[in-house]
Order: sequence, then C-alpha cells, then structure tokens
Amino acid sequence: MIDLLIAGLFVFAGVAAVVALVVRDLLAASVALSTFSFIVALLYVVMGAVDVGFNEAVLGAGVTGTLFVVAIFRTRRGSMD
Amino acid sequence: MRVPTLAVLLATLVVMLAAAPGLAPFGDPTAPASGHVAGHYLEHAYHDAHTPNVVTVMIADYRSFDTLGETMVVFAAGLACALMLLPRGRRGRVPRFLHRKVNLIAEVIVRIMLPAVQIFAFYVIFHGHYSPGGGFQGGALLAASILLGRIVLGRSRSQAAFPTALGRPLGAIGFAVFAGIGLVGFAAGGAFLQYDRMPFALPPDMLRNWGILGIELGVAMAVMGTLVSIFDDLSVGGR
Repeated sequence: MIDLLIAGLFVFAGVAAVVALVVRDLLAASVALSTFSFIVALLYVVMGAVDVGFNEAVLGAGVTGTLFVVAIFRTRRGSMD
Repeated sequence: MRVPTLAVLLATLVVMLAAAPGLAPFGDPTAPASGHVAGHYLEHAYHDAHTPNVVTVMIADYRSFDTLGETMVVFAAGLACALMLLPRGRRGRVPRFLHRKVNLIAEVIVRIMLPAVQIFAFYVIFHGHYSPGGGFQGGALLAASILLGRIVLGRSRSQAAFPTALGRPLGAIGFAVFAGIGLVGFAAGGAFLQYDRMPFALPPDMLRNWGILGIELGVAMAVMGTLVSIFDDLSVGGR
C-alpha cells in the first residue's frame, strides 16, 4: 500500500515537472514547479531525510514560487518558447 | 516547445536513467556514504555536543565550516541581486500588484496564518537541537511570512512589519554572528569554529551545544534578511 502511494507520488512529480515545462503561461508553470517541489519534499520525508524535506518545502514550494511570481509580474507572462 | 529544447531534455533524461542503476540501494549499510565517518558521527554526536539531533550536530558543529560557506553563498546571492537590480532601481517605481486594493478573504486568512508561521519559525530555530530543522529552515520560514505579508497585506503594513532597509543589514549581521562565534574559540587558542574552547565556565559538550544555538541564530538572520532583500530588489529595483 505504502509502495503504491510512493509510486503515485513519483508519477505525480513527473507529471508536474512536464506540465511546468510545457505550459505557455509562466504563472501556471511556476505553480506547477511549486507543486513539484512539494511532492519532492514529501518523497524526501518518506526516505527519512526530514531536514532536507523541510528545506525543500519551505524554499522550493514557498519562497521560490513567490520570487518567480514577482519576476513574472516585472516581465512578461507568456513564454517565448 | 521547440525541437532542440526537447532533444536536450530527452538526452538528459536518458543519461539520468542510465546513471540511476549505479546508485547505491536505498538504506544500504555498505554504501560509501554510510562507510567512513557516518558511524563515528552517530556514535559520538550526543556525547560530543549534548544534542540528540545528529543532523544538527553535523551541520552546525562537525561541518560548521561548510555551513559558513553555504551562508556566505546565500548572502552573496543577495548581494548579486542588489548589484544587478539596484543601481537603476533607485528611480524604480513600486509595481502595481504590491499596492493594489487588499482582498478581504486573503487578508483575513493571512492575518490568522502569519503569527502561527512566525512562532513555528522560532520553534524550528530554537528546537533544532531536538527536532528536524534549524537556522536555515527557520530563517526561510520567517522570510516566507514576511513575503506573504508583502504580497497580501499591502505596502504600508508590510513595510511597518519589516522595512526594506532592514533586509541586507540583517543578512550581514547574521553572517557576522556566525563568523564571530567561530572567532571566539579561535581567539581562545582553539581552531576556527571550535566551540569547546570558548572561554565560558561550562563543560565542553554544553559549550558546543550553545555554540550550535548561536550559529543557528546567525544562519537564521542571514537567510531571512537575504531572502527578503532579494524579494524587495526584484519587486522594486531594475527598469
């Protein structure tokens, strides 16, 4: 059961990463990236690296997302790619 | 997505997948990472520093010089943002989204959340000896609470809570606290960052315990000040 949950987290992380790459709206991309960070933080905690998971949750899912949002507001919202 | 980008991404994926089987199995006691010093740390950490959380002892005591470098990297990143964005930014205007009309629902939720986040951040810093966390995580949490206020509560109130001018000095002070605690042991005849040579009447393991706490406070101040100053430079500076 727990293996199934972990496998689901891995699949979800992969989906979030691909969405962050493919989507053209950069705001949506940064949200997808925060989602990815949060899932990865959960995976770190499952593997026993609680400190690393904590860091990832705070910095990856929280502060980095905020900085991305500010940078997007100061530039353009659409992706050139 | 353009074809060259996709090709590079796929090539990286193939390389990663090809390299993955070379990793040691999860939890393998014979893996190189668990071989050399891990056993020594696990056996001696509590005796050496009177701290149950081995991760904290490793980060802030055994490898504190490494942590000093990491703190310096964070501070240097903040300085780099300032150098790139500020020279033109003194004339820069505050972007519209930072002082638009405040959303009532978001404001009420944030006003409930902010004190809880900040208290939890201090708990994380001061309880780092016993539970996961420490200066870096606590400082990042404090910074995140300030950024949340910057975005939701509007400019005047978030500036009253933590002025922009305070960010970079706080980062510098935190770094100085870290290095200063290292110099105390150095001045008393020990090595740099050797806490048990600090000239206080305490047993060596308690001295290391207090040294770890001081370092965590320095790291927390450095990380919080730097992250907030990066946000402020990004949102106000440039253009």
